[in-house]
Amino acid sequence: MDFALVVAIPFVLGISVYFLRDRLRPVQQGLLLTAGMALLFVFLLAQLPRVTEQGALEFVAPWMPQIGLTFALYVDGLGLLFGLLVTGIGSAVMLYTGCYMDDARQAGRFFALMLAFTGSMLAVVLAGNVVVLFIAWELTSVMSFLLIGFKGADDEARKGALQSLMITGGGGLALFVGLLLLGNAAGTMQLGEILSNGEALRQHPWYGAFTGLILLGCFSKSAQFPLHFWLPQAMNAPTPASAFLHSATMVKAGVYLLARLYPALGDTALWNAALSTVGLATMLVGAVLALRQRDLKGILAYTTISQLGALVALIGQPESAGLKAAAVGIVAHALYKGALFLIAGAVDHTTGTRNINELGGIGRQMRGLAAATAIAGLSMAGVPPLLGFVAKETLLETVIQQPLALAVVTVSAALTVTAALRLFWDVFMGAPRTRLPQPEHVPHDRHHPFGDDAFDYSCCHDLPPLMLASPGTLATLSVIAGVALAPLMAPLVSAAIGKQVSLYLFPPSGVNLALVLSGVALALGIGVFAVRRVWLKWSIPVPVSGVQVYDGTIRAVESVGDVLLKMQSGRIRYYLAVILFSVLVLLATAVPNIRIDLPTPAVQLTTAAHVLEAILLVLALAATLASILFERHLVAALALGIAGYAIGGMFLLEPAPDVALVQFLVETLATVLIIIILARTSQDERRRAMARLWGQTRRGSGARPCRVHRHGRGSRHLCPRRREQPAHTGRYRRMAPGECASAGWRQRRGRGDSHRLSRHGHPD
Amino acid sequence: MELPTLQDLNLAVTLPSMGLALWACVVLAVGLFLPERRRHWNLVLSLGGIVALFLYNLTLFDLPADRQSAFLGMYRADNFTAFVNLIALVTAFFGVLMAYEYLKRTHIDRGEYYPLLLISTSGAMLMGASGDLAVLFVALELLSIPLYIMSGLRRPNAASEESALKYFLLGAFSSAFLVYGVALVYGAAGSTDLSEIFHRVNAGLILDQGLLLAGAGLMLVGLGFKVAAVPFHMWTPDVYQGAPTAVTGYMSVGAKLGGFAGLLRVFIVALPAVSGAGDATGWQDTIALIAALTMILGNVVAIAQRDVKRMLGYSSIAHAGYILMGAAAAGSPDVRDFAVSASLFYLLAYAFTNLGAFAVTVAIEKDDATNPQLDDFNGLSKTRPVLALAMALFMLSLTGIPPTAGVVGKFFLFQAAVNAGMVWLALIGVITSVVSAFYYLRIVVNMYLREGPGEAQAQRSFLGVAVGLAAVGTFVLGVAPVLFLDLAQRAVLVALGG
Repeated sequence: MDFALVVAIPFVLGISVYFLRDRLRPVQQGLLLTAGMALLFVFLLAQLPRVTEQGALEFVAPWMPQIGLTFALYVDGLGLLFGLLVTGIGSAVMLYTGCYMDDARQAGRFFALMLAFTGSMLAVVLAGNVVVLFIAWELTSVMSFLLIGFKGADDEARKGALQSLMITGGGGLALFVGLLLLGNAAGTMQLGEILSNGEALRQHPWYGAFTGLILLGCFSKSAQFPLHFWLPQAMNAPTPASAFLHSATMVKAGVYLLARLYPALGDTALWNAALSTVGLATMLVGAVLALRQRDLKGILAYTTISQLGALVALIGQPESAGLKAAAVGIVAHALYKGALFLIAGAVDHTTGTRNINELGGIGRQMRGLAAATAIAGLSMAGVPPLLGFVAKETLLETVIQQPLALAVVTVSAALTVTAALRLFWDVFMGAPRTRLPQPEHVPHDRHHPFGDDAFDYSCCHDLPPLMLASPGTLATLSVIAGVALAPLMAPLVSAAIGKQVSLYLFPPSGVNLALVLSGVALALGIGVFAVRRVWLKWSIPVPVSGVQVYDGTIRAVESVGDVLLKMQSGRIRYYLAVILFSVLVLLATAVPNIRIDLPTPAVQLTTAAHVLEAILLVLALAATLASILFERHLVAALALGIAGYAIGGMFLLEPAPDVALVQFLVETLATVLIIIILARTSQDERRRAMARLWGQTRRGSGARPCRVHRHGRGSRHLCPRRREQPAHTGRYRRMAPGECASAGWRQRRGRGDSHRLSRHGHPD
Repeated sequence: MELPTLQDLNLAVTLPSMGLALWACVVLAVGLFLPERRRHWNLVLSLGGIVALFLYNLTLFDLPADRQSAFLGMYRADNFTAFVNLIALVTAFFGVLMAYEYLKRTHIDRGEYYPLLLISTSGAMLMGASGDLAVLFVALELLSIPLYIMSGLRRPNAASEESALKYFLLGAFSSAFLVYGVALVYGAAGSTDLSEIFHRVNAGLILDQGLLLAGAGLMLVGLGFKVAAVPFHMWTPDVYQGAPTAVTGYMSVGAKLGGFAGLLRVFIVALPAVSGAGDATGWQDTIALIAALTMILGNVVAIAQRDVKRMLGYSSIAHAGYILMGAAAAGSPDVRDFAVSASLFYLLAYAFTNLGAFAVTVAIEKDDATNPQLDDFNGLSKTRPVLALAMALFMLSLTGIPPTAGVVGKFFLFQAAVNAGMVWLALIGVITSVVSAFYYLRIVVNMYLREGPGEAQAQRSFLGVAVGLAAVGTFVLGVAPVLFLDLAQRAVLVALGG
């Protein structure tokens, strides 16, 4: 059906643009994709009335019929809201990217990744089956990882990319089991059935387990405290990707899933407590940490975290009181933050820096950009009549009964105002600053990675209209949506939360507490901004940062690994002992169950056969012992033979002559073979081999046999044996009979050296 | 007693494993007379045999009941066998394909590699098909002995020799436990026939419960060694590191496959009724515990590794733990069938993924056969983008991130564990998967975000085919697992007769 196409089209577009990247200029690629995304947007918008009237639409196709898994889509107002967000912001970002990218090939690659992400994200929000949802969810994490690493990067960026994937991908795995348990408890993987099963699920004994796991997944994805630290690290991605993934869409996937599962899992004590605590903490932490940032994208990232916290806290309000505010907040945030990210990218692109201390007064040259920033910033600050104001008002109204939450929200709102002012005033107004000297170690291309030829940096001028169109449109939409609440926003929000709501710019009943607090926040924020010279010098003490905890966890796991590695000594003697010990433990569990009546242990030496048997038994034991104790290999081999013969003799007495005969035969053959082999190897060789095999140790994380070392020939002499066969550089070939071993070694050493040199020429 | 006729033996259904062993003899004989420049016939003959038997094996699914056993019940030709054969032949195919150029360029192009690999594969297939404990033991040795030799193929290199000898000594030690376990089970149940043991246990006709449990425990040791389960895993990293990389790649899947096929065969067919608490079986908790330990140890220690082969060695230990989770779940009667097919599917997914990862490792290994380190992957996305993309896919699959085979496999295994009421085990599986993400993704980071030496390495065509096929398999199993899932689901393990 059509919705399957909605998910598939971005992938198709992505692949086609990848293959057309040599034919089309970046701008053309961008326009093509903008058109595609806009079509999807219009299509989804057209479904809104249908969904509002008929309720959720479901689409099911067989996928793995054997286990009753389907590829299912579930389209309701909430899904549509997010779908519109993805395609709407997506269109703007694609248009912008076409101008942002200079190199057509690189642009094609970038677009392909962005489109793959778009498809995955649409699959997340339209999924009708928790398995489909999980798969799409993880795909978005992978795409995010690839986009963060898109520029190829220094150590820090690399670490950031890995961290973001570890946190979101790992959280995704927790979500995986949570959804599995949920599916098990509900008896179905279909989202629609799970949602209608809320009562039973909330009573289920596993409720705590699956809810906890699902929350963990959502919190990690939506950068909730204390897992928030991956998001600022992700800002190494090209700015269009940050705008799209790390502000407007991907990070809201967690919020989406929380809202999605609210009918099934929400509104319990656990749910509400977890969401409001974590959400409010995140809101405050994000807003405070945003103050410390000098990087434009850093400020945007931390305010995004703060906003995500607010959304999570809203979904944790009892009796779905917060859903309306959440829906408005999602739209408002996507609009202004998307615009601001794109603006930050343009500033970076034009001036070559994102450091707020190096910027100032560029509004004189870039009037269009300054205007867009002003509008988006006003929405962010929550000034009427923009949508941001409505979002803040509904948020305050929701928590009006809870003093603590109210305080947190007001303070965070005030700090957000400060951040918005800094973004506008310190960049576009005030006196121009000179560019700070770059520290030597910061690679030049970190700031404008796509080459210098797009703009003339010496005199900043306004963006080309096509590039300015995206942030401009998004900012303008903030105004339009704020003014035209009843015709535009109300139906959307009503559809999303499934009940009729009314939105208003100012409370119909006149001035109330929420409005007052909103004003207080505004004034407070401006006040804080005015004295920024003072607090910018402060350093806010952060007792433990998330990154430190992350690093510490990794180190802890590694040190556990090191301890376990100590057990991997490389000594075969020790390995054998471990196996034997484990066998004894295993058997010890079985032995209490053995009820067999063992014959009385009294030795019955009544007949000649018994006597003979006893003698053979003693002989076998003695011979076995001898084979262990005797140093000389020949003697040991013979002793082993004797043991075998003694056992054969016991078979003979059993009487089992056929078995005995086979035993004699095999024993003879084996002994003869061993003796032949012994005769062909020298005593000395054997001793060295024994030393290697039984006496060797390995230590540390390297845990490698000593001859396979990384540092060239230096430690070769640690190896007691076969110095003439350096395994680490060796080309192994049989030596010709007359060839001198040391000559061969010298030859190979020559090769080894040249090989090392060539590696040396290309340091990491 | 009437002697069986040739028809009773039902030889046709045993053809995949028996035929492969015979074909190995042909390859060996031909290989003796091949001059240096005709060595490629080794490859052609081996691959031809494998592909032919693979196709033939596809006809062996859903045989009529009277054709499902051969050699009077000692060989079972049910769907389980057919699926194990399928995985084994896929493994052998990759094992041959990725070795051909590697053996040549690292100067160990010895003709015996191919027949040894084929014989070992037939052993793995036979383990899945065994209807009798005696056959199981013979199959185990048939699987193992060629592997011992193959590990030492790079003689007189000390690491390779040490690897072979260690593997041999420890393997022989463990085999002894298996035999002893077989003897105890025979002592308790009075039969080595798996179905017969089942019926006697069921009917309470066994001599002694404890003896049976002890026997089962000892067999678990022998099979646990083969699949590299903790605490019988210690040989794995040492042997993997020392053996030639192509051999390691084959071994990491082939030996595990054989071990698991035998393990499931014995414990599900013969011993499901060994009493334990409630309606679970007596060995379920033991295997669950081993699975948990295996997952934890494998994943945690793998983080500290710098040597790619050692890292993949610990990773293979970890994956044994995941499959053991399925085996443990199979101990609950009502999830048995699902858990068995989940384990089989995971084995197939693991085969494609791990063989692919090893094929890439073979590709980046230098001609002097020094073991690849993690840093050798640096910048691979620039020098060989397709190879890097494939490796990224394999790493995602091993971690369990879509769109790959690994995530579908893990989905079924976790599902089986949850269904069997072992939520804790599934949770350990998830936590260790998160841990594993760290070392798998480190390779992806090295490939994509680090600068490498910048020199493009030579393309290797056969290896390229191997990597490509493995990548396709990993992807297709992850996106559209329907076909193989269907086959896996039909693989039901039950005792014969009634």
